[in-house]
Amino acid sequence: MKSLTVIAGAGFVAAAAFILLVPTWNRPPYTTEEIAVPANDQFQPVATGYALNKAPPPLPAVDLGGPSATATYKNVHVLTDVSAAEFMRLQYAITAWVSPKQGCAFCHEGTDWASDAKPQKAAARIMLQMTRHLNADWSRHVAPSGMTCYTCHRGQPVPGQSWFPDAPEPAHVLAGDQDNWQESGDTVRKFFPDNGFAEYFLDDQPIAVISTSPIHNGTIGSWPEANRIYEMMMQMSDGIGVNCGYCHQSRAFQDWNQSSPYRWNAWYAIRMTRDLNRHFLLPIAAILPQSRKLIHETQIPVMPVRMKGLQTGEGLVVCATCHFGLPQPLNGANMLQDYPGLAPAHAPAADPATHADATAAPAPG
Amino acid sequence: MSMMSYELKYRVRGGTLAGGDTFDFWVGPFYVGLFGVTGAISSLLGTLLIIYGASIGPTWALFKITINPPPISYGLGFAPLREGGLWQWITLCALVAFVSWALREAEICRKLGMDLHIPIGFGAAIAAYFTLVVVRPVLLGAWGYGFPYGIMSHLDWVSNTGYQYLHFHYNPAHMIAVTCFFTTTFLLAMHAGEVLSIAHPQKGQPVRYEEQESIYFRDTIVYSIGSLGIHRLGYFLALNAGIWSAICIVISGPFWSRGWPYWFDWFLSIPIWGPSGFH
Amino acid sequence: MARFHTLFTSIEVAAPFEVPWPPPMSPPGGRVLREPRHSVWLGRLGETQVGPTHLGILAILSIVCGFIAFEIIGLNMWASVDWNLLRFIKMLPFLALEPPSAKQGLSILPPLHDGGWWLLAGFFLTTSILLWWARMYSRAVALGMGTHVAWAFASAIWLYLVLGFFRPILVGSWSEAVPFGIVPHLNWTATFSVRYGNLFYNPFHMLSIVFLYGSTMLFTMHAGTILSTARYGSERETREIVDPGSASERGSLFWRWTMGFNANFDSIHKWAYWFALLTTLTGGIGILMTGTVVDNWYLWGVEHGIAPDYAPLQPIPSAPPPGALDVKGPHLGGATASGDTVQ
Repeated sequence: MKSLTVIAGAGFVAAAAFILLVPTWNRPPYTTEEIAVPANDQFQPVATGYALNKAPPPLPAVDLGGPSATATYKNVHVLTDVSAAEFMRLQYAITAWVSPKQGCAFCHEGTDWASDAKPQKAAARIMLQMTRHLNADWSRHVAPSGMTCYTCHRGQPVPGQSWFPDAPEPAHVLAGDQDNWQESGDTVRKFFPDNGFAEYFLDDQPIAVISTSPIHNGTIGSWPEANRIYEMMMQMSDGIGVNCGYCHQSRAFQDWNQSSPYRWNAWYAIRMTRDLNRHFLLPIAAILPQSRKLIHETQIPVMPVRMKGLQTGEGLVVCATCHFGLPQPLNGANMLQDYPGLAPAHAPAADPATHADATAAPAPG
Repeated sequence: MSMMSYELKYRVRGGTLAGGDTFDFWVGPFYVGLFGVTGAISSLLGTLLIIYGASIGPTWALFKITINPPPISYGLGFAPLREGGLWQWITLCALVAFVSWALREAEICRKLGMDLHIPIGFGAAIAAYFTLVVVRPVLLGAWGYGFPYGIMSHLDWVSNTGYQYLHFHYNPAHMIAVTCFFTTTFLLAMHAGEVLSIAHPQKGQPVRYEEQESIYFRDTIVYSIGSLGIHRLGYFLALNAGIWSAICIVISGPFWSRGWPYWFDWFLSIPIWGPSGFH
Repeated sequence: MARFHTLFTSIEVAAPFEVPWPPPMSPPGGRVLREPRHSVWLGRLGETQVGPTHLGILAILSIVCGFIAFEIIGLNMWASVDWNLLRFIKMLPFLALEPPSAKQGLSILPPLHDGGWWLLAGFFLTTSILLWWARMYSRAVALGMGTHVAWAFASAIWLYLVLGFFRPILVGSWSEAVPFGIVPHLNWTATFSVRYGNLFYNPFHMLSIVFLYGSTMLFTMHAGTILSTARYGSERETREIVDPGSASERGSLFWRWTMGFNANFDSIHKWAYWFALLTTLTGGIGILMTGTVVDNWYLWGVEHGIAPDYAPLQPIPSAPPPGALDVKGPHLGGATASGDTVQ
């Protein structure tokens, strides 16, 4: 009996030590910010982000005048409005941001810079178009810091926080289906079901499930939809390093009048993400061999460590892809001002009404 | 005089915690004592402050009245009455009143030759309240992290605070606390139902006392913990419900600032699951 | 001061076993485990004696049905990880046996993989629970006692049936029911509250919580009273009801002196019984009204004037982005169409 007492005591101490030491507890003091939601209890711990949240220093500036890139180089399709010097500076910057280990040859065939032999080069063109499109037409979400290749890539050819849809589990004949738990994920963030991402970040599924009528009238959204939205919103929260209260008053999630202005940013962001995934990421997936199948080939980087196991499907954009766990990617560092080539001057004027709305909302962080 | 037939012989002097016989008397059925006086003053003052707070507030609708803690900007300092100062004084009054009540209970225990289980049990509830309105705010650095005093506003606070951790059901201490609450209520129903069913037997059957209690539960669920054991178990679980509630909220923020589901990262990174996953 | 004998047994007495008398009435079945055991560890907290117990047709059927339900749930979960034991252990907290999808409605014969197993498991579990209820009831009758425990159990069964049976029927779909599973049922609970506009504004939920917390408070008060007067024999509660002694007097006076009012050894158990019983009774009513009568409890609260109005900390734009409320409209509203940017 005595030995049993000792064993039980040792087990208790071991369990307590495990609980205290293994999870990544934080400790006070930690700083918070109070945000503008109409209740006095909405606080945000100041997010620390995942990793790599420091913007690299800009390359030395060059002559923005001088001969144009199209006059100097052959086969230039996207960066047609910059000088040749700025064009080359951007090429160096992009290499440092996207393929520092692989170098120029990641996209270019030998020294034939004009050659379109590598599909990566076509992908890079689409990516440049995407960046310019973002900075010109999605200022409601990305202004004022704008975004560059580094916002997502952070020195890796495949952005570390891309979302790779899993292959659906083959349907069981007899047993019921499970939620789409990502068993290859070694953190809960990667483990949670992602069914909703395709619905809300690729398709136009309305993100509305809560009834706007107190009394039952049959307009309420479905159960699976409610679950998908919860999962998608958790991705958003963790991806940008905030909690539900950053945008919502939790007693009435649906009510815009009780939400913070940040919810507007998020509303635009969701539309922006759909735009990116449909018009840029899916086309890239169509021309670029799926990088995860080429893990062992030269020039193609290994996947980020967290991407364990076999992946299928395309790398797509979700909130974390740019944000890396911060309300403002890179803590709002404005890298774009040093690379005007990524911010085309001919940004079409936004609809004045919506533009005024967007500027009325203060930038997060 | 509202006294029970047997009461007079129990009304003895002494047993006070401070010694002496200050306020060592009864008013009607109530024992007064030093802590009865401090408790009465603090609870009356606190109640009046709440009524005053309601009167300067926008509404007399009972469910809407709220006394809010100061904004975060006041940190751990004093705030003007209308900007959370009332909340601070009401909190102080509540704590003095609760502790006075517990100490008065302890004095009554001593008078009646009882052990201190009741004041200690109440102490667990006080500790949970103290954790909510003092320990956690102090750890986080501002009184504003306390909960507002209002019927619906405190529910909104619970809701907002829960969603600050995305999904509070994943808080392991919250799981334990909820389990303790449910189990306590479950055991209370069994115990109370059992005693009533023995004291109020079928027509024509005698009252058979605690031996029947054991027979009924052995017959139905193999084991009967017994009449003393059930009170030990219930007391243990009820106190743990309060204690784990306090733990689950004090770790939320000061020691864990992300969503609670992410706390379980350790489970997914146990090495036996294999380095390459299962796919 | 501390007398730990009231918290655990420090010296256990090896006494002869208590022998149950033959029940005054004899339903089918009989006592098994006729040779009871001593358990020193159980004896630390309560009685040392385990068994004998009663095994009748109700118990056997209930256990068999419960076992079938348990196996259906467990084997479904195991099958869904391809019978891989390690995966099963890892995924067990997250695995579910889900109710049928919405398209099955109230069909009682959906495909097995789309809720059929769930219905079967639910049927067997419910049968098991109802049989167990009948056992609790019939044992009380057989022993000549009141049937209070069975009726308290019935209140819990009410909440269980509301969640998995009555409410789905009223709403018209099994898909509204709770999945079997550890994390899945927690997720269900959270989603339920969000989907129906904040369950905190459901008055029956409020009542249920009050009774839950109240039960815990009452158990602390009651158990504290009993333990702190244990030296006067207070734990022999029915004796104190029939023939109040010093323990009853002291316990009563304690509360009388503390709060001006006291229950007695009988009535405290009535208070406790109703608090515990009303927890699930009111909870069940609250769940039953959700999605059948009320779809959004917060808005219900606004209509009935209980939702506080908070002053905004800073001016907040009072209108959502254009198109945000237009749930059926174009969801790239305001976005520049960029379909032609990329070929």
